[in-house]
Amino acid sequence: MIMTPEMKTNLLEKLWLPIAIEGGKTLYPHRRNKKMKLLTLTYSENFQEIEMLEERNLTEKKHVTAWAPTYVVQIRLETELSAATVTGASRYEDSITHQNFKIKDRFPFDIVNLDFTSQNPNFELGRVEKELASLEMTIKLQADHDNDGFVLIYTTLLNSKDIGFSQIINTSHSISAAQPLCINNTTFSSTIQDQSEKISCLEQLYEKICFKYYSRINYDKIIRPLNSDDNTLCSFAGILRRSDG
Amino acid sequence: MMAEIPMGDSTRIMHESQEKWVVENWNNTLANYTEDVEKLVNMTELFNIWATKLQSISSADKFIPEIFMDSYISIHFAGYGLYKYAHACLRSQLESALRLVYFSKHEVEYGWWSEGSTWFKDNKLADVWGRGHDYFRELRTVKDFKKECPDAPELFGNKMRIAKLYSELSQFIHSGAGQFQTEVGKVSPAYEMEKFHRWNGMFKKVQECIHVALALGFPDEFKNMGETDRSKITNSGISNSSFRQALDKFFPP
Repeated sequence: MIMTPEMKTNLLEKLWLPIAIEGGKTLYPHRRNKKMKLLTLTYSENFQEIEMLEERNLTEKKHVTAWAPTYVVQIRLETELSAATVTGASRYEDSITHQNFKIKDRFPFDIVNLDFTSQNPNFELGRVEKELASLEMTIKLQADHDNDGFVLIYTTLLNSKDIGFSQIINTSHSISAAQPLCINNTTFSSTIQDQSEKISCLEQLYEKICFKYYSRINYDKIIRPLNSDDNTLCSFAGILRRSDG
Repeated sequence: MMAEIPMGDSTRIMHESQEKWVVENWNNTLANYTEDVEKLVNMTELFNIWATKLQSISSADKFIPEIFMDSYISIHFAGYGLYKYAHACLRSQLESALRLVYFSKHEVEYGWWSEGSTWFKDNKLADVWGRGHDYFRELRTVKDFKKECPDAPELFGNKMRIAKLYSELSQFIHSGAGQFQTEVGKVSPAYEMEKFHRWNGMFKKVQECIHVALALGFPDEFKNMGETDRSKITNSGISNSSFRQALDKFFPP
């Protein structure tokens, strides 16, 4: 597991919770108990986001869909979170591309926590590209279900592997050509090797992919080097809205 | 403190003794085989790879969780000292894996089976695919694999690997001599090194056969699953080096 419980708690307190609380106020200003539908990619010993969001009256377990990366984790989560829906047993980014994507009918959600560090990441070349494709497919599914606004959290690990910027642009176009991804092909090199350039690219992509489907986004981020090698933990959390209404 | 659950005297005696031998047997198993158990649990995780790769196959959605669960519960039973039932899970797991390969190409029969039809039994056939393992032997990939990798153990056919395993496991279902759970003079389940050791070997052989059968049954999915996932399956799921080398040769990266 990449993210220790302490690291996750820190992200939760500094970034995820403040944005989720703000999202609750913005999206459901008149509800005391927000009862927001949560989709979270999570892990068996490290699912404190569910507890913390529930403690702050943002969600209830019965409104939670927890995506577990493996059957063993799924069993553990099912025993801990009996009221929640626990599913997955595969990598989210590999599953959303399939026609019979297990949770398609559960969309839309009010909070989507795509924490890919919880999913036994496969560190082959092309991992981040796949994650971003699944991020866009998730946002598109939200929009296709007439969702007017939601909280979107995206967390990943950048390691020494290159990022294929051109590939991401092409994939985005193939997911939906109707709306343009407002980022220039020449903004970054076709294949990005430099770590700071990768971070900048990731942030711009998070923002521009959100803008493809939603007209407003307020977001914040935490970028933190990890102890080992060149690894950097990147987390973005934002409130997406379709209009001012 | 948890409220006491009401139960009758006989149930209470059963419940209390169960609580004791379950913990004691698990502790004894882990004291002697902790690393092995960890490896076996990790082997069950390999079915997540198949679950991901076979998402477009409708029967996989039903069978892969079951195949996983049979292996997972087999470990539970073995940990508790319930060796007969641990073996029974392995036979069920093997059957489910073969049914998945068959049903992936037989949607109509899969529909019948899902509705509870037992047409194969009515026709005196051993299983959904017919008699023996002829169906699997006739699969193009299985034939090509045999031709291109003659040194690899043969999976399908009379007295071949799967038939032998199945026959050994069936003895636990049909209470063959020596495959009883109980012993004369002792009925409560207990950890036994020799029995655990035997089950452990059987568990690995069954997983190996299942992964090879799935690789040959779903050649495109295995070929395209990516180097990391493929090597996880061949290195962690398949103990026999001839099988590993043959799969690497037959499905070059």
